[in-house]
Amino acid sequence: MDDYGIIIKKMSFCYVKDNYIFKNMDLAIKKGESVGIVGANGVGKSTLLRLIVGLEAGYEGHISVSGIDVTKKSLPMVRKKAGYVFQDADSQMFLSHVEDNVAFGPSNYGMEQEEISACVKKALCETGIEHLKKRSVYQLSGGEKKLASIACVLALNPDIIMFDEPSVTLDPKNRRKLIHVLGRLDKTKLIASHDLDFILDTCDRTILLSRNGVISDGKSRDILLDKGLMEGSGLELPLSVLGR
Amino acid sequence: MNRFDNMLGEMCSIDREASKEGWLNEMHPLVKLLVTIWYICFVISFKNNMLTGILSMSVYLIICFLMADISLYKCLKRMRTVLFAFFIIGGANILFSENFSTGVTGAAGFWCKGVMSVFAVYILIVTTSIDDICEALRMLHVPGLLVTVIMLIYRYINILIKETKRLSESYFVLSPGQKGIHIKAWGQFAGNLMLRSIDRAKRVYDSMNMAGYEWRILSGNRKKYKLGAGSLMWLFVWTGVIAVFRIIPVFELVGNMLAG
Repeated sequence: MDDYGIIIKKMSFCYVKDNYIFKNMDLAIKKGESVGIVGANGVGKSTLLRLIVGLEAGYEGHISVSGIDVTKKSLPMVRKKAGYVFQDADSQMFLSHVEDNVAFGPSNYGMEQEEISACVKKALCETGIEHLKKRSVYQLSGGEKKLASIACVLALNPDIIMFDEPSVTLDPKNRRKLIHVLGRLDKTKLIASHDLDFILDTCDRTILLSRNGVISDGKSRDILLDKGLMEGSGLELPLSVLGR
Repeated sequence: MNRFDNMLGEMCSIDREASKEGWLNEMHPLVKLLVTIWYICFVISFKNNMLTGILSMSVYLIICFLMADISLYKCLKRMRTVLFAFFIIGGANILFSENFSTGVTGAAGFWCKGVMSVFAVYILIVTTSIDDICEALRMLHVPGLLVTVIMLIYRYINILIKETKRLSESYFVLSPGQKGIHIKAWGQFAGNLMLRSIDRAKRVYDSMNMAGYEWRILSGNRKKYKLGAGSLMWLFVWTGVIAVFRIIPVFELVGNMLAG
């Protein structure tokens, strides 16, 4: 069990009573794995990520992150182990300057000033945006904001990072840059996205969700290139495969 | 750049000024907060007709503006709405006073007190970040919940401006030629604005929580401040000077001395 970063057992969840999004779901993600979560709109990709970090409460069953059960009491510890990059970078960058936003997490965990500075420097370095340190958030482009929001999460040095639609609103150059940054991150990654090419480029394993829960789980190429499976789930093959 | 961008830019610029290096910026936030509260209490304790006494209190403002290199023009521009409100309220003194001259004196006294208090608060906010002000409030044992609310309101202003910008832009795109938002759309606009900004505020709050923000556990863990000799001197000098200027009519005495 020590090999697993995330374990979900018999987990059920619904927003409206008896209208389950997940019913008795089982899932295990090994440490260091890079896992893509794909599925049509409304199947619960973002909800799954939010459940893992405790942003959604009231699930039945069992979820554990790095060996810690996700309960109301354990949330600070869970969130130190698992970071979450929001789809909307603006929500994550609520302070005026990049540096302040990146330092926000470490300062909340009571680190000393020197330690905070070191965390900020490392996070900005890992995302390749050291030059934006003193920049105002209002002056950042969409791509820069996305990288800065990843730096905010990296500053806490989590074991697991979850990304909700990371490539959305990015131009091809920034998208490529993001793929490069994610490739260099030596952490467990969970990426929920509609961008199947992005998943193909960044994840070894893919979980395909539908309204009935997990319908397929395996190697990314095996799942994403299976035309019948993808079309049966309301998706299409990746654009790079379709040759458009 | 539209007016919403201007507002956001203005907030950003105030934040930047508050976090720049400078002797007043680096002073202990608790000292700055205490001196500001002390100053405002003494200024508003003057009766409206004690104009000379009120004006003598401007010494603190003048010294701060000059020594911390704060722009008076920017201050007037940023605080114009509040100053205008004081102007209107003070003007009522003239209308409701028994005779015109006491009304005018009363209004002038009210305006001066209002303007000086606003300037004192302005000096505090351009030299101290919101986080530092909240930290100072915590040091004064203001309840954590209240401090958290103040911080969240500050963050919420940003969100509200951004959402208003998005909504109004989408409105104007769909209604070319209109100069403002039609009165018929006001209700829906306000309702939508509220729902959308609540939604955004929730997302921001979620992301704050994800970054370990929990005031009950974590308050007091921010930057550690040391109460240096400079800060202590600033506190003692100004509490003394302000009290002296309040009790003794310094300007009158100086005026009498000069007049012989």
